Amino acid sequence: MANEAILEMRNITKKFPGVLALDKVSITAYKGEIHALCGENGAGKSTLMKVLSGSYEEGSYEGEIWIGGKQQHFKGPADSEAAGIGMIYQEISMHLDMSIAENLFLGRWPKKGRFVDWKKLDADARKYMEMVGLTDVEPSAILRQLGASQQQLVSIARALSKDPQILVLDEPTSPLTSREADKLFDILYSLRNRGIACILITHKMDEVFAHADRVTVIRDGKSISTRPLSETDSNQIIKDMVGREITNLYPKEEVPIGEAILEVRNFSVPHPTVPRRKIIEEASFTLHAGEILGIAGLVGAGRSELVNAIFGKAAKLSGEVYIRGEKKEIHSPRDAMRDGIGLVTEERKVDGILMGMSIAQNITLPNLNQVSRHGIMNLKKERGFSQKYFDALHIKAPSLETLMQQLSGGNQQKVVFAKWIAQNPLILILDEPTRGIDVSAKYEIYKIMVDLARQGMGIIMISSELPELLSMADRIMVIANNRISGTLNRDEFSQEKIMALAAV
Amino acid sequence: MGRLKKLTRMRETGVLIPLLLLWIVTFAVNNSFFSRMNMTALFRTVSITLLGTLGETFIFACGMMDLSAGSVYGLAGMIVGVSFEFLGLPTPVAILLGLCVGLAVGLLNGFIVNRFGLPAFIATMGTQYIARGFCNVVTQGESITGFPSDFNAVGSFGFFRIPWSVYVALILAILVYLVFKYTTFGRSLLAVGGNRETARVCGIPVKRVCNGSFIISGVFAALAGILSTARLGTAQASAGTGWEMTCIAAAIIGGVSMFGGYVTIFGAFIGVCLMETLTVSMTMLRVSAYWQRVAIGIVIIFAVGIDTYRRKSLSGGR
Repeated sequence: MANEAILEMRNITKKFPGVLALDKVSITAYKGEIHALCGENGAGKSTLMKVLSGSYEEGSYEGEIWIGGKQQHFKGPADSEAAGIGMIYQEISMHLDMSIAENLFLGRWPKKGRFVDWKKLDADARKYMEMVGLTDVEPSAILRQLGASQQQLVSIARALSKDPQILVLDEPTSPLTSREADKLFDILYSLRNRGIACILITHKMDEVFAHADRVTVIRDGKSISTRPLSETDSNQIIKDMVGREITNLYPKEEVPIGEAILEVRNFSVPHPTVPRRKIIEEASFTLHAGEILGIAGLVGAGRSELVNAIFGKAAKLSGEVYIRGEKKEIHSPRDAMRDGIGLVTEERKVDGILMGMSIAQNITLPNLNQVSRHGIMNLKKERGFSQKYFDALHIKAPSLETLMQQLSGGNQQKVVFAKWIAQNPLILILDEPTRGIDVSAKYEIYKIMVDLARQGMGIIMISSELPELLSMADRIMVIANNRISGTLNRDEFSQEKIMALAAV
Repeated sequence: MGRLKKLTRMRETGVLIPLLLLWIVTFAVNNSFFSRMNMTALFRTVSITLLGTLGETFIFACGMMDLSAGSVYGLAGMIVGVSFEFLGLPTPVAILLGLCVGLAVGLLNGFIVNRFGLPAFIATMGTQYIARGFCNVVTQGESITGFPSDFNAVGSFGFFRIPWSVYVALILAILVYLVFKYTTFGRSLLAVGGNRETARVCGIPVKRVCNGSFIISGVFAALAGILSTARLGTAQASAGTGWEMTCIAAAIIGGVSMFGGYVTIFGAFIGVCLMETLTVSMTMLRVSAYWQRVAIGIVIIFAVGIDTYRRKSLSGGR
């Protein structure tokens, strides 16, 4: 296919404090092709697209962007749009309380003098709605009343109405059923036939092989390979996505694994943003004493939603929890704590710590009954109680009175661990426990995990870092396609196998 | 020298110094400022408003705002009046009924906020109107006078010719201080205000805690309304109109964080003194009532600005 290149990103390098997000990444897209972009969590796909969309302005990165043979200088998203780049994001970012027509032309409504020309707006809207096959609703329909797939089509229609030469779609089939996804690809085919280049960011191998012309893999901020689909297979792509050396920085020890302490049966969890949709469907698994059960899966797979529902932090649709064989009704974090479960949440700044309070106050927050009697607090006891965990976890801070906001990420995370360990739970759920923490603090947290497992605690660990999972977990459960796609035992561990289960 | 440094760094100093300056300036202009009569009147008003501010402190602690306090103040007084005038009830029962008004509105506020998820600001705005409406409904807008002498005594002087309301406010202020410092309830309130979701994940009964704060705020406002009615000798349907704004302003000026998570009882006290003194002083300094409002408005914006700045530097830490 002797197509000309419409887009060239050359040697894009983007640094954040302490992190090299993109390292001389290059990608080329031809006119009239569907180009898949693959990579695991944190590989750099979103960052690359933010560079292309102008969210990161020129100067905040190194490298060049060429469109149609001319070098581009984007100072912001408006420049990128003007150059013919259309972005369709994973999350629907439109005004739900406005009509389809209003959304399609937001900011550029046709005017009659000072007033909106509603007639023309309606007519223009119809044109683009027809283009995407949105023919069973009126342009005046309010977005909130539409289904997720229809809202997605409005997103695409909006991007098309700006006459793009290059269309970037980020996981576009996430909110869609397979039938709706097929319809979407029909639209992409017609765009391809009109000479538009479509960059499809996806982790779904079947989509890549069914619809894409070429595929580029990014790993750890570097472009690894670009191949035509006809010359490769899914094994090769997965290998490209994960292939790296695992160095042993993990203090994993063999710990005797006891009986089953937690059994989750037929758990279904509602989707957090797409209405009337399930993000987890009929998931069942068991956790044993002394075991570290890893949960892998791509971002958006529903891992956090699953554990949050088990913990009672979020609502479930259906499902049962059995602890040591007894059925438990858990509808709130209080219930979960009463039944011996603790949860270290994904983002401590959001719901893990109290920034303006001291270390001692944070540690005792779920343990107030241990440092008080009849509602009256014993401040001396509080000090002793928190000192114990402060020492045990080697928290580095001037004193117990130090405020959380003055601690480093690693020490903040240790305080979160401390407050749950003080509960002496049967089961501790960890959601990305080492995210945003420096290497030495990570090692200390791994040691804490091993200690807890040795004491008979059952640990569930959600992580997006494959090396971490492979080293620390005894079993790894992979979540994909709203279900548990597979569970691997330690003797079956490999990065490729996890990715294969995750990128279904 | 170390202790002096600690004093200057104390948050309340920011309000205490202006208050003392204001007192000194007013005294310089009008020597009768520190007279027994003037100080008694001043601290009598301070004690009443302090009750409302203490109530709002509980609400602020968990990150909410209660706009219904003024209407509760008025309605409690009206119910006491009705108890005497139409039901011929004994004083203790009448007072109890008045306090129940506070309890009822507090429960209503809590119910609306928890059940329907309305922001406290909106919910209490609604109950503010409802309660004020009841004030008028109860007596068709007419005031009630002629209370029994034992009730009037409550509004009068106690030991050492200091008004009873001052003793009540003082004791409650100390109790509130102790609650925040030494009880799990107080700690839970501050946690909910600091980060509601973190508190919930830690098993704090967030809804129960917020309900508690509404009830306390309601009862304190009712108590203030009852004491005020006893002092004035009449129950008026319009009593307490706008009073919650004074209480809220005093709390903010005193350093109680509007966003939740931090309270200062001493600061609340200084804030009330400042609000009430401003009114008295400006009158003595012959400043027109209109300019008084301008001055108070400026002080409030300033106080919130400092609170916001402090909060930003807290979260921008790392």
